[in-house]
Amino acid sequence: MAFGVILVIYIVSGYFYYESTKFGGDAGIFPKMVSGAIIVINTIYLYQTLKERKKITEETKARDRAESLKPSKQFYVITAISILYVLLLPPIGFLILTPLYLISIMFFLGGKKKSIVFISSIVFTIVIYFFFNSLLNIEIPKGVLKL
Amino acid sequence: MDAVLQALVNTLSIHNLVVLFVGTFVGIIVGCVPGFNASVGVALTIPLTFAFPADTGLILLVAIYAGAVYGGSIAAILINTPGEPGNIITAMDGYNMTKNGQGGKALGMAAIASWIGGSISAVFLFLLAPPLSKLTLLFGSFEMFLLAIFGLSIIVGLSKGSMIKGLLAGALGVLFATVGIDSLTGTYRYTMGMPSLYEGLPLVAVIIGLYSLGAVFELGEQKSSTIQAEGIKVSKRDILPNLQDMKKTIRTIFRSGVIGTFAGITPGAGMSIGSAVSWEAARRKSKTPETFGNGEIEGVAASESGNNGVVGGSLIPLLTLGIPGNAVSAIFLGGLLIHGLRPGAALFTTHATITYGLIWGFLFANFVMIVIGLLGARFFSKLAVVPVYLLAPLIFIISTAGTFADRNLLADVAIMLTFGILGYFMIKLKFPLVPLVLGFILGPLAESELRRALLITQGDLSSAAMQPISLILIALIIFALFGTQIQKQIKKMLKMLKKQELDGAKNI
Repeated sequence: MAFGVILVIYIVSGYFYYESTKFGGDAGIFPKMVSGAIIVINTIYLYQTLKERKKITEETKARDRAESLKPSKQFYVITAISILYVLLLPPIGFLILTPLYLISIMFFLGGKKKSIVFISSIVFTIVIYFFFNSLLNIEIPKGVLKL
Repeated sequence: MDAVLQALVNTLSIHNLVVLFVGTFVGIIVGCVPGFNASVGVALTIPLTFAFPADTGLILLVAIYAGAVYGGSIAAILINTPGEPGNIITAMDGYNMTKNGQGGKALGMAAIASWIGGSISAVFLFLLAPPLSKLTLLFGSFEMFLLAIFGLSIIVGLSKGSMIKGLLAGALGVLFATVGIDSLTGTYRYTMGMPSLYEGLPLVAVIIGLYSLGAVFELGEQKSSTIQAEGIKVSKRDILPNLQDMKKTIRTIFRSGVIGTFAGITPGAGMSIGSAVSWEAARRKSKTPETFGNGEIEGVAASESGNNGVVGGSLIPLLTLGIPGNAVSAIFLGGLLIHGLRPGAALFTTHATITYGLIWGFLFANFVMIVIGLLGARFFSKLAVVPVYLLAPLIFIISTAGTFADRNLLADVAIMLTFGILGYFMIKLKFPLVPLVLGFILGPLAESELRRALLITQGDLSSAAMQPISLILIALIIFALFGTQIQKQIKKMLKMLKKQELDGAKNI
C-alpha cells in the first residue's frame, strides 16, 4: 500500500512539474519549485519505507494485518451511493433523490426502526431544502419537479 | 477606538445577535454530538456565511467555534464521550462526578468555567492582536513568503506520526493551490480545459471534502450503531455550583483561562494541551491532588476554562500573522480569506469594524454559551446518543448542499467527493490532514509574495534572505520542522556525556 501511495505522489507531482515547464512568463516558477520539492521528499519517503521494510519482523507484520489498511465495505458502499446521488441530482432533483439517498444509507448503516428512518429522511430533506433554497436563495437542482 | 465602538454597535444589532445566538446554539450541538466536531462544524458553515455580509458571517463562524468547544464538555461529563479532543481531560473528573450523582454540578461548572476562560482569552485578543498586527508592516514580500512557510512548517513539525508525511501533505496542498488561471500572467494552469477549474480548486469544496466527508466515512465504519449511554439522572436542584464551589475554583478558573490563552497563541498546541496543562497546574497547586481524576470539580473547572481559553488565544496569531494554531483555526483562516480578509495590519485598520465585530462576537458568544448551556444541558446531552446511521448521511447531504451553495456548480460537489475520498485514504495511511488544508490555504499567499520578491530583487533573493527578519524566520522554520529531532539529539548527547562522566568517575 505504501508503495502505491509513493507511486501516485510521483505521478501527480511529475505531471505538475512537466506541465509547469510549458507555462509562459514566471507562471511556472512556483509550481515547478513545489513539485520538484515533492519529488525530492517523496524519494526520502521511499528510502525510509524501504529501510523500514527490511526491519519488519513477524510481529509487526501481524500487527499490520490486524490494523488492516484495506477500506471497509461501508466505505465502498457509501462512496458508490454518494457518487450515484451526485450524478442523478440534475435529472431527478433534490427533493426526490435526497430522501431516497438518506433512506438507503440509513438502512445500510443499521437503522432498524422503519418509522424513524422514513420520517427523519423526509424531515431532513425538507429542512435542508427550505434552508438553502429559501433562506440562502440557492438554486438547488429541481429535476423532474421543474415542470 | 472608534472602530471598536462602531463594531460594538454593529454586533449588538438584532440581526447579528440572532446570528450569534443561533451560531452558539448550533455550535454546542456540533460539540456534543460525537463524530461531529468543531472542524466539521466550521467547515460546513463557511458556505452559509456567503448569505451574510462579512461581519455577520464571521460572527457566525466564531460563535460556532466557541460553542463547539464548550458543547464537547456536555457529552464528556454525562456519558464519558468527549465530543472534542479538548474535552478528554474534562471527562476524567466530569464523568466521575456524574457517577457520584453530581452531574448537574459538573455541567454548571463546565459552563461557568468555559464562559470565564473564553472571556479571558477575548480580553487578551483585544489587547494583544492590534499591536501584534503592526509587526507585519515591517515585513517585505520575501518575509511574508517566509511567514506563510513558517505557519505551514509549524503544523507539519507537530503533525503526529512521521514528519515526512506531514511535509508531503503540506507540499501537495500548496501544489493543488496552483491550479487555475494565474492572476499575474493569465496563464491557464492545470485546468485540463475544465471551466470549473479556471478559478482554481474551490476552497469550500476542498475543506468540506477533507473534513466533513472524512467524518461521514469514519462514522460509517463505526462498529456500534450508537454510542451506548448509561442511565443518567441529572437532578434539577444542583444544576448550579454553589458559592463554596465557586470560591474553591475561581482562582483555578482564572489561571486556566490564561494558560489556555497562551496555549492557543502557541502554534500547534491547541485544545488538548490547553486543558491538560491547566488541569496539571491546578492539581499541583491543590491541597488534595489525589482527588484529581476522580471527580474533582476543580479539575472540570481547570480543563474547561483552559480549552475555551485556547479559542481566543488561537485567534491572535491567526488574525495578526495568518498563522493558525490548530485544525479549526486553519479552516477559520479559509473563511476569512473567502471573505477577502487577509490577516495582518489591514484587519485592524481598513477592516477594523469587521475584525472588532468578530472579537466582540466571540466575547458575547461566550456569554450566550453559558445561558444556553445552563438552560439546555439536559436537552444537549440527549444529542450525544444520536445514532450514527442518522448522522452520517445527514452530514453528507449538508456537505453536498453547502458545497453546491458556494458557486452553484455541481462540479464542485464532484471535487468535494474526490477530496473526501483522498482524505479517507490519508487518514487510513496516517497522513495528517491539517498540513494539506493549510498548504492549500497558504499556498496562494506564499506564491504571490515570492514572485513579488523575485520581481523586486530581479531574481536574486540572497540579499533579501540576509535581512534580520528573514534570518529569524528561516531559523524559526528550521526549528519548527526539526525542533523535536534537535531536542532528541541534544538529550542523547547529554546522556552520553553524563555516562562518560560516570564512567570516568568509576575509572578513578
